[in-house]
Amino acid sequence: MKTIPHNIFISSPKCLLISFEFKEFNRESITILQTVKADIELKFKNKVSYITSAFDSLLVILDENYPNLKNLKAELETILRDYTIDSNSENSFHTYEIPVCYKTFGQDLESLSKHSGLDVDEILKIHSEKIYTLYFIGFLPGFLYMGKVDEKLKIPRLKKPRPKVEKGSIGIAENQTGIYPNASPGGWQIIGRTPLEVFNVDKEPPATIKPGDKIKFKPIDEVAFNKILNENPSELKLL
Amino acid sequence: MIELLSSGFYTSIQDLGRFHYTNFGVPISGAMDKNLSELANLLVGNPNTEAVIEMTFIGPKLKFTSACIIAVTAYKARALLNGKSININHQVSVSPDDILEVTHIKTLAYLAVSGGLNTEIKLGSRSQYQMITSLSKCQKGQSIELKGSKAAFKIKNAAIKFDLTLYDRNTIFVNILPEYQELSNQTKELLVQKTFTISNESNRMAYQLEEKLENNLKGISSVPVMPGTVQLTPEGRLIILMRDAQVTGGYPRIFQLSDESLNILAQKSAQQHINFKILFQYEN
Repeated sequence: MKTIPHNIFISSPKCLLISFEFKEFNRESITILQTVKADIELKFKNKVSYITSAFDSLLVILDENYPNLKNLKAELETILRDYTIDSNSENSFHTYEIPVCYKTFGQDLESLSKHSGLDVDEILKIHSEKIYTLYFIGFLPGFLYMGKVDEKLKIPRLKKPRPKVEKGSIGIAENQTGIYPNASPGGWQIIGRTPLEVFNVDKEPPATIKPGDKIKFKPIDEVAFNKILNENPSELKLL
Repeated sequence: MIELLSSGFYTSIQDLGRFHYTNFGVPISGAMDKNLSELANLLVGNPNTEAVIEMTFIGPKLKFTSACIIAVTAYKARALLNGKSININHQVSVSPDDILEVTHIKTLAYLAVSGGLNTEIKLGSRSQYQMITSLSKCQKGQSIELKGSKAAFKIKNAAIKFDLTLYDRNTIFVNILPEYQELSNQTKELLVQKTFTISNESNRMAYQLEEKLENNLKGISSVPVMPGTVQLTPEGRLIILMRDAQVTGGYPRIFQLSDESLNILAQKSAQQHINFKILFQYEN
């Protein structure tokens, strides 16, 4: 049992902001944030309209203006005091394998190679060996923000964003790696593409991977890419 | 059915919004001015959850293929049915082949049809948004299906009183947000004393304000934001997030607009002036 340093801020008659002081963003911090979120959703089921999470904070929106926000704040304080992260909460997260065809689609691999001084094969090896944590989904509907990328692969965003990045593109920006769920403008350095559909508005939930889950990339060639794309683009494999 | 003979300046289908997918990066969306979108539904006997057509500045030219009861709501607008002027903020009966035009809109107008619109539902809402719905806004030549008028709902003369003078107000009521506390006293004073101008770069995602303020705040990591959140950019500009805003943002958060003020702001357009008034400071 431990109390995570935090602050609860009342920002309107129906909004509360909970921010945590994490020493760094890592799997533990995401786990805590997502577990607290789930707990609040459960305990205040009839009061909470929705909760938005980012790196280290939660925005809790209530259904209606709440007559006594101070009481609610006090109740939340009780949840956050003596908070326990047990092994069960760790178990509710999964590790997924995402196939990536790097060489055919990685249009920025060459500039990353120049920037890092590594050859393309080394880049592939470093990027695909690491297990990443999904920090959050945002920026675009379904965009997966993951980290942390090995220091050697760190690279700034493109100076000028591309008008169109293809659906499924895997990019790097600083120490984060991300997946574009749909074709859209974008400034991340593109190192490959997955045939998998990571976001589908006609599914409930629209994305299977959730914040706190882990991801490992598996290098595949163009033949395997096309096979998955044509046969089972929605089949996400657990590792 | 409704056929769109022209699309208007910016026309989209909106309901209350999409609330439960912010953790998938999906914006809330929904009608910019909930007062007048809900009034439109009320006038035709719909629950406030029904989708309406939101029109901006110049509305579309619409043709009805069946008889129905409609209402056009606006702060100011001109509505013509087959070229003849009709009342806004009132029930109106339309017949098959009637053509409706809404022009001179200040700034947003809403059209509700008795029974509601039967457009696609994506992630629990009919609100149009890029990459979520098949069309990101209404297009010329498109047909909008109707659920069908409820027979039980008869046209009534009883007008619903709604005080439109609230849109004359230029004062925007706000609550403070965390990074406000770190601003210098001088900037805090300026925020409530200065008159701000809405810039031309204002749309359903955000309204930008023209005046620049000093900004000595440190950058922050991405935090959750919502419609009505006021951010301060590194160059010292204020951005007020509107209904289609992203759900997280990396700029310091200064204010949160009250629900009513967000509706009032939605009806203002580029070059209009506003000022902020802090509603109440919670003991945080």
